[in-house]
Amino acid sequence: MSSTTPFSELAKLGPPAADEIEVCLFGPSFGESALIHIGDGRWLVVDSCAYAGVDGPIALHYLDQHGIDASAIETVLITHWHDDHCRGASKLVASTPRAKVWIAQTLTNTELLRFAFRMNTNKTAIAGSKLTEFIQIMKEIAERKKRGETTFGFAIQNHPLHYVNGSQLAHGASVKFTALSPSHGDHLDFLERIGDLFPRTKLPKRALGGPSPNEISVASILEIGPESILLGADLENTKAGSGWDAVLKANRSNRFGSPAKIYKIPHHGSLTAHNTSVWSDMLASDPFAILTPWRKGRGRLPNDEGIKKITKLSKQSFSTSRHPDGRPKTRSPAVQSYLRSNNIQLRNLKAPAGFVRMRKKPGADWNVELFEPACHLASMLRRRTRSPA
Amino acid sequence: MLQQANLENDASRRTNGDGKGSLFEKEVLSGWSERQRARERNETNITFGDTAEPAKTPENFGIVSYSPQIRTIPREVVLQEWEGRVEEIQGRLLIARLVDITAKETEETEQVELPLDDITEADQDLIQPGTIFRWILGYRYLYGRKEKFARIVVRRLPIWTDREMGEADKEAYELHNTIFGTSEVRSASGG
Repeated sequence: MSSTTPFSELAKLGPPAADEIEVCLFGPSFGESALIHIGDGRWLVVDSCAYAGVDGPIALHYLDQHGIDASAIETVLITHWHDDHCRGASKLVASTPRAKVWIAQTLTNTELLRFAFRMNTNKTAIAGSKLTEFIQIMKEIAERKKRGETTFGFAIQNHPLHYVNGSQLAHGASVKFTALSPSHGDHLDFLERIGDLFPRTKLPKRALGGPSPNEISVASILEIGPESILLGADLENTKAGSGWDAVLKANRSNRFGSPAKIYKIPHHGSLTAHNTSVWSDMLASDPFAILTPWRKGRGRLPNDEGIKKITKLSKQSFSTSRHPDGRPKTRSPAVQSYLRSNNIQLRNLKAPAGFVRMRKKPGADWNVELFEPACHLASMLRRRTRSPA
Repeated sequence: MLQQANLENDASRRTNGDGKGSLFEKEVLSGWSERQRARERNETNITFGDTAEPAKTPENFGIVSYSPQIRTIPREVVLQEWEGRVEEIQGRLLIARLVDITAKETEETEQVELPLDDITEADQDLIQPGTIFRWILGYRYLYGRKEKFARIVVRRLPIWTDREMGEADKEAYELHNTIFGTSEVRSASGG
């Protein structure tokens, strides 16, 4: 395993070989994005994120660094509408007109669209309604429809997202990409919850609050021959029969694929997304686990308990960054003195972002590369337990 | 008297509303009321055949003399200003995402936890996920003293109007119909 190659030096490393599978996980400067080479210069993207100093979605920038055109992307999956997973997604979708775009079926519901457009009429907040990116994606899909291009689809549990016959690929293995969620029950629960938040005439305007439970997030499994990659999106354990429990039930009746050797940990390693049955039923023993950290509420994800749970089940677990926070901004001494004396801590949400890259040639083992500040997950735990001393 | 009552209401509303002085100060109004009452008394005294000279209208009738009053308005120097959006409330703390207005930023780049007790009681009732507020830190000069201040002002946003909701719904339906077709189109294509 190599490490610490600067992002700007990527071009020298070269793109993957035609028969090589590659999985890159980017984040969290703002968001999370996975870019996967399925063979022969054909790519899939899951979600979108933006890096400081990089114009546009990071997945496009990465391909550009290798001299690869965005048209090499065949499928874009937007797992859910939170802005930490769809930052720059509308640009990604617009830049890849040939790629099939998938979003959760729930997000196409008329009532959901009315909710988004109603919330978007609130122009009072400087940061906007937080729904602009989602609306732009929907408008891009509508434009495709107007042009007569049906290069979009709506994901729900068990829905196939992408398929390539092995005869078309240098490594000879077939590619099958399947949505694991949301379940029909979660779809309905989400719409009911949105109904309670609906903007209504004569009520004071407001912005969206914090992210709600992610029961409609599209978790997925990618099978490339004998290799399986479980992409957990932000799916959580919301209640019995919902979220991961709904995925496990469906998997028990009809297995989604072979146990996965790579697990993109769901919801930034939160305890609400950790499910031991997923590890036992859907993953190979001691799989590779990769995640992006994040700040949620008062805590950071993953917290120490979350890290311990993951590292206990995977000795090869990695994070795209050491910290979910960036360096505190420098401000006037008077402001800093006020904040210090009142014990107020400001967290910079723009964390330094690295990425984890995994490559595999046929018959060889997976090779993991960590691009600074990506790190072993366990090292985050050690840093934090040492720091108070 | 109806007019006067309205003025009094208006005066109290304006005075309480923005905290600043108004042309309709209570003292001014009470003086005006006295003059009005005197005039009415005089008018009721006029009877047919009464030779008494009608009361003279005071020279300053209708003109309110407003003696300039020097008010001590604290001079403030804003050092830092954020716009906050409440993400969630945990106990007596609110967790908010911030846009740094001083740095002329337009996206949320910071997060803070603030005690609810730092917010005026009237504003605390307005705090809920999605509430927008301004958080301002600075210096204030008052009576020759210089002191730091921090102020959280909860924004009272306008209401959603029928027109806005109607236009938003129209856009949503149009988008939905563009992608999925109208029910008529769907039934026609279904045979």
